[in-house]
Amino acid sequence: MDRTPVPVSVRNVWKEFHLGSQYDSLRDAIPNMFKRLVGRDRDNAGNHVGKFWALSDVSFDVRRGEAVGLIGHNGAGKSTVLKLLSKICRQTRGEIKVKGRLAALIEVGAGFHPDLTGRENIFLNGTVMGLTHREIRKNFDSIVAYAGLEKFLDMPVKRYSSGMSVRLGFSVIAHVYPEIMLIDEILAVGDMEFQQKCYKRILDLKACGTTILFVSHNLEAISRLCDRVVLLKEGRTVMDGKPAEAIALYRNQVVSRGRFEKVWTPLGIEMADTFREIQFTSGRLEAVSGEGKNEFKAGDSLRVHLSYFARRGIKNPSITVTLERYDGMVCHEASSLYADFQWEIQAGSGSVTLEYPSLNLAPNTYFITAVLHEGQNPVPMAQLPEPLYFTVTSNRPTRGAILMDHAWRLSEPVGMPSAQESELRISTREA
Amino acid sequence: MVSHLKELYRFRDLLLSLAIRDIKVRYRQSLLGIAWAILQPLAFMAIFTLVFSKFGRMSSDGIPYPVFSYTGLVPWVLFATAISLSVNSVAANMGLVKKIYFPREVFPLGVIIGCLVDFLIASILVGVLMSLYKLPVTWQILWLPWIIAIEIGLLVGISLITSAVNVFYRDVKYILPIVVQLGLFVTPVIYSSSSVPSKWRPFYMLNPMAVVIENVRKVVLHGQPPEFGSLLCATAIIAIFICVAYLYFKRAEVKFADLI
Repeated sequence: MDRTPVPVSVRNVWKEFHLGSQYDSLRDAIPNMFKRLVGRDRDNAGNHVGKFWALSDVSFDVRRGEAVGLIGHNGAGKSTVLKLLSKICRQTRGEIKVKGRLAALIEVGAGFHPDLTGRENIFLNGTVMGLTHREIRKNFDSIVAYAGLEKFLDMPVKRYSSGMSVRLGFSVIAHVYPEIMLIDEILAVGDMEFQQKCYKRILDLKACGTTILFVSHNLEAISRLCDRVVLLKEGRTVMDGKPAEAIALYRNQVVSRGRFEKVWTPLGIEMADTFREIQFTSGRLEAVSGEGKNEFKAGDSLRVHLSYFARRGIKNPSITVTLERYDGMVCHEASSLYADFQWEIQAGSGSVTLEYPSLNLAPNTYFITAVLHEGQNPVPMAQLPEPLYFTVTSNRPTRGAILMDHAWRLSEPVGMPSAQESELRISTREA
Repeated sequence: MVSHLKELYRFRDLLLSLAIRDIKVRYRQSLLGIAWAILQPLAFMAIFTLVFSKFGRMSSDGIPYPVFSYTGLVPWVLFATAISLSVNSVAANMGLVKKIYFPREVFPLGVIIGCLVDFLIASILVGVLMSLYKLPVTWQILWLPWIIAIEIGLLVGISLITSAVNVFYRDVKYILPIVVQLGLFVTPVIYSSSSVPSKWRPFYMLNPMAVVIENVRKVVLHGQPPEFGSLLCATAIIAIFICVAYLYFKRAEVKFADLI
């Protein structure tokens, strides 16, 4: 085993990609080659169109045994970093050093062939993952047992259920013992049980001293697994530091992208959606005091103000406002239908307001979406064109999804003189 | 180059797995299975024998035409199948290429190994035919591995280049079958090279497959020593060719995953 203290080193790395197909057929390539030879049309020669920098001057190190998370929006360059580290792509500029055996947990069941049996695919997939036949034979029984597929070993994988093939693929991966592990969004696939298995496997690897690079949108998993987090934005390193700080910065990025008020012009709507009978025209987040904002403290009040423009009157409309966490977990759904909130929409402009007196939510990023129905018709008449983002912050360190009023109580053993109860009440509302 | 080879050695089991996959997938769900490896050249032999020995006379240097043509067809079918299957081997596996790293030359090389298995099975019939026609086997047959090695080297070089270029320009996979088809006519597979006018012979023998098949017949059917001059020359040229092809492949390889 390589004992270098810094097995992964990324120094001033740039990566350029060409948008669209650079080469596709000789029909395009030959004229371009000709143009280049003649020296004309140098900048416009087909394959020079649409270049972009996926990474610009990215540098970071990973020490031995460290687990580093990479976070950022889609297109921030996280997966590109992993591709460069695993040598799938090569950087345009800069230096990358990787010392030690590296494995990438990027796809489960890579190279599976549907016509081959489970047994044959274990060898195929295992060698794709960089194992030797001898290593696979040594661990074969364990791989099969871990997947729980003893009975189906000689059945072609095309007759497996998708769950079975994922289990088989993961079982092979679980028998790869790398010194450096790259993980890309692996927790996003599979069911709960599978995710737990993945998670446990990663923890095991970490306990064994494996160096881990972890890309995920699941900030909860990132904060639990990683010792350090690198935040990328548009191909640049924005921050390299403690998970909590980097995640907080990332959440603020999400929110600052959207302001507390969004306006969708009726003019544009008329152009685009001539047949829409009703359309949301603006959405605004504010405190009950009327002050517009998108950063709230736990326990604050929140008012959602939605304006619409209707082409005709609607007799029995119902509106559903959904409050979701950034990762898609539905925290609350408020439907006017079940609240017996009777109203009527007149032709023209109007607005509707929803109030939450107290946001009992754990610190995180959330967003609001809304749909409008007519009566019981399941097809929505209108939808909020884009979500309204906001954050909830708290001075207290809290984990979990919601905040609940709770109390701690200490009581002396029965029979003791001067039995006295002490109590500590915790309220969701912050001072 | 040495580091590339070391890495390829590290992934030797993957190479083997891919070759096994190719063979198994090719013959699974076919009734006759691996027998197709023999039936394919045998069918060609039957057709050519019918056409050339019944309708038109074709010189076969005193060897019975069926065994003459089959002996030429076995190395030719190896060449033709390996070339036409390997050209798309990298492009067809783009999903893997973009997800996981390993030396990409395992794809074309795996195809060649798979085709070699077919070749070995088809070769058995050469022995059967020879004993049927009472042709003696001589010690000269020991030169055969060298001659086949030249053909394999040629296949490695060509497939490395074509499979890499095909990732960028898919035209290659359409052009190549045409070239291979035409190649049958400039190679002494179904006729003897002795029927080539002598003033054309020097050019004719520039075709490495002509050298291979000509010499295969010499050592197997005629019991004569091979033409050492042309074999040495071919060995040297193909050794250089493989190096150039491999270096080109490794340079092109890093761009494979960049193509979206």
